[in-house]
Amino acid sequence: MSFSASREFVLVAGPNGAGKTTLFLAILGLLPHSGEVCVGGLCGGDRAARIGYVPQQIKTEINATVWEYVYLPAKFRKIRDARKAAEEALKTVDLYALRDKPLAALSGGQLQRAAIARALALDGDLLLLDEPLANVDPQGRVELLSLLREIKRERTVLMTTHELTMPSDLADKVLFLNKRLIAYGPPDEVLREEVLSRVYRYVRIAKTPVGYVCVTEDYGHHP
Amino acid sequence: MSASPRTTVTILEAAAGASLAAAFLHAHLYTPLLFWPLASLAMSAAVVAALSPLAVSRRMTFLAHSQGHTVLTAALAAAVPTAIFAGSLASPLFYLFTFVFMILLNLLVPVAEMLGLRRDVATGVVMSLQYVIILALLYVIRHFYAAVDPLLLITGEYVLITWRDVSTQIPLLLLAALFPAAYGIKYLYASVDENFARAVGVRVSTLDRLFIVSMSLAAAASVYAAGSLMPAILLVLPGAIAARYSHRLTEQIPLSVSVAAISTAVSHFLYTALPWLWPSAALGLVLLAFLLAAPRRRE
Repeated sequence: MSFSASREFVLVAGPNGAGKTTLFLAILGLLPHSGEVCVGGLCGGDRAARIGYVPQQIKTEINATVWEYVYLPAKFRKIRDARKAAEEALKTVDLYALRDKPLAALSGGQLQRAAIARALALDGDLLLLDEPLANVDPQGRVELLSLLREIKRERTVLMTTHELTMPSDLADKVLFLNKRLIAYGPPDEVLREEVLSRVYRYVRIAKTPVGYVCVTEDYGHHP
Repeated sequence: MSASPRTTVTILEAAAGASLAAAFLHAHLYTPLLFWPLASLAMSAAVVAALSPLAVSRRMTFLAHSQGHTVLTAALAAAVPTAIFAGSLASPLFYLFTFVFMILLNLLVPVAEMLGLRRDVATGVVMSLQYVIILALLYVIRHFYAAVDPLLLITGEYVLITWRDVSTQIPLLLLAALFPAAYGIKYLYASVDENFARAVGVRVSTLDRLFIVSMSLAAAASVYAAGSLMPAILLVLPGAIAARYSHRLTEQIPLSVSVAAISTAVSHFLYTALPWLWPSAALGLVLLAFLLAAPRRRE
């Protein structure tokens, strides 16, 4: 596959096992891959220094405070003034007041925001978000979408999701994966029946005044 | 009103210093024969406890649990070549052989994983193998090297420890302490999020290997004084207790060391009051009491 993005918000969609997380791990340089991945002009292993990553699962079993979760990676990566970067990132996601709380005390939405703050503190050109809306309640979803709108102004964001129901002002581009690149382009061009039928069997998409709404057909008609 | 976590940490660290000072003063004034054994046990406990939070993190939990078997097997295996070449287990050769055998036994786990076994199953398989080796070695030692008492390899030669033993231990323990001092926080963070730690440049696989070497070194340095089971207990309990007192990742190692120091001091007084109780057993009992008295994890 080949695609490029510059200061754009790219929604990476596809069914389970399509390779969304694998794509992210390859971009991070954590999986062997052929071809070339360049971020901010860096194409070797040092490109990871330009990337912030928000994983799908956030472990809370190990003792760590919100501050340690966000600050320590910036310190490990020797970010200039890591302390200030962590403070600003926590203020951006509105978690600064909870910085001394253990991770285990946060709600699903707060955990996602902490993970986003951790990625922001690294001050990368590219932000990879692996299904940040999964396990988040409707209130958390609204807060996260608002935060994502703010973040996308300053960097390239790739966000995997199973949800195609999205506000139309969020994604600049949609990348459909199903073991390979199926389609890549602006939502109006990509969110079409012809493309969707190559990715999902029973899913249709409808455009409304506020965004795109995913429609699932009646399972009874498809034994 | 309950104390805040930071206050608790400060209290525990102060208590560690005070209780150890009291124990050393008591040993110096009233039980001089126990001064160097206490020094040996305190140093061993502190260094092994510094590794404990790393051992009980999710990355190495199975390995930590298996150390009781590994240390005993390695100590019994080391006793045979030591008896052949040096005669006495007080020889530095015993430390060297124990360390080498511990490394080999710990590396058997990743080797078993390469055969397609899950880490917990691989650890269980290696532990089963170690039981067989222990039985065989007990037979060999009893049959061919009657001068070596296998019981002392389990309980430790505590009361016979001298300055010479302590001076042999010091460089080994200092080397073992380098890993938690230099990489402890990074290694703990790898338990929180391995992929992220790797993405920010933490070499997790290299740290895994260094951890095994450091843990083996600390255990090998402690066996002669504390016995072969105590290092395994010290690898698990102080870290588990520290996790109950603080939810801060950066406080786990100092807290674990403080817990081990307090327990060593209390066990010294317990042993002098009840001489029939082995010092290592006294330390284990104090650690268990500490664990039961520790508050539940704050959230």
